[in-house]
Amino acid sequence: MMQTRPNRELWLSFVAILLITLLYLFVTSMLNQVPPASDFFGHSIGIVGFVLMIMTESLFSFRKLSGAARCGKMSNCLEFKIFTGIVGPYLVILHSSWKFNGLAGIVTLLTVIIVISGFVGRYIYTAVPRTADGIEIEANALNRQIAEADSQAQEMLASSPEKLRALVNRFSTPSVAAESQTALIFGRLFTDWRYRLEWRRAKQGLDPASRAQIDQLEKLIERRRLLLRQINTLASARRLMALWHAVHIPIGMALFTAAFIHVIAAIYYATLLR
Amino acid sequence: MKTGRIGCFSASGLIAALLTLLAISSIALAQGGVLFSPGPLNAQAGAQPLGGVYSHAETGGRCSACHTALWESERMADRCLVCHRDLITSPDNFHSVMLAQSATWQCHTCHTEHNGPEASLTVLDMQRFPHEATGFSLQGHKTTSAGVPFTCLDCHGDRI
Repeated sequence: MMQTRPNRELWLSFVAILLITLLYLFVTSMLNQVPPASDFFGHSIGIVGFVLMIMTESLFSFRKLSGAARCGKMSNCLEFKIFTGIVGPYLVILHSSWKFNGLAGIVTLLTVIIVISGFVGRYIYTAVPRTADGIEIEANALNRQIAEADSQAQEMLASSPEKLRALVNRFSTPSVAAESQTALIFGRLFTDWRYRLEWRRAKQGLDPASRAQIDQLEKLIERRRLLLRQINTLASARRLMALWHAVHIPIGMALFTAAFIHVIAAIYYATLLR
Repeated sequence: MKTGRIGCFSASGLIAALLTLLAISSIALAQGGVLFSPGPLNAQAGAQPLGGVYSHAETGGRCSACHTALWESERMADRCLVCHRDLITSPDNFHSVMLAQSATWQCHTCHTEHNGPEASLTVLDMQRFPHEATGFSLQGHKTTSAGVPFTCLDCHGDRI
């Protein structure tokens, strides 16, 4: 159901950004100046960056529209979208040669905003439970998965002492009453970290036999907690996703419109020398 | 739910694109091409006014002083010579020779703008500069007596 290679696209983006930065520093040292936006290198990174940004917007949408499995899994497509959505804007920012005048400056600013918005969108997107192919999982399917996890846990804990069962119950249930659904969605990184910390402490207080038994249950407990949180926040996560789309898409369209006009102006003034 | 269209072409997306287009067009109409300027113009004043100004910066946002419209037959280089006609008064003049030498050599090849009020207007790429066109070949002047490549300053001092 979940991603099998968590954050692979972020790591690949990080590596690509590192390589691009090294190349940029090398060219800077060769030219003895920041590569101008209008020279060969500056232009090239601008063009490649912009093409990657267009791919970010178009390929994933085409894949969703066509629904064609031959185009690859939806999750891979989304990973590729995130990769191009990070590396493309980075190239565009380098293309600016750190000058932010006029329309080019506005385009750079919108690029930074859209990347930040993209990160927020991805965070909300991952709060909505999905299959490996990116299809949203409905509440009744989640309930079925929770029931399966429960029965597995009961089976494994059948002959365990009450103290151990209480511990498993405590850590496999998220504390939803105290926090709003939105806070649960946005604060889930912190909440998970806090759970892991408390879980480790609680394990240390157990005898070796109980600890060995509970180690086998760790994945199951984590999964149940995640499923319960997802079902508790499902409605909010979907609402937030819709709200995010309502904000992100207009910003993106404003960016692409301004960028196309910038490209036309650059061709007119710099390439055609009018 | 499939809508049969790419996500970004939603009503809000199209309205945002239209508003951006309108905003940029309005600014362009009100302020000329300033929105497309990559940086401030050179502000170093010449001894005499040319074309009614002492420096490029004095042209303000009047882009058409140097840039031509798509429907005009003139190019940017032609606009340079409207003010700087003295540079090509004689066919023996250095700039006349340079312009006659190669169609690819334009004013902007050596004289760049929009780099700020104090930036130099002349940027020579000595690897590409056709020194032969000046009537003095550098074929026999590749390296100094010390065996290192000649630089402009070795012959011209600070006169360029």
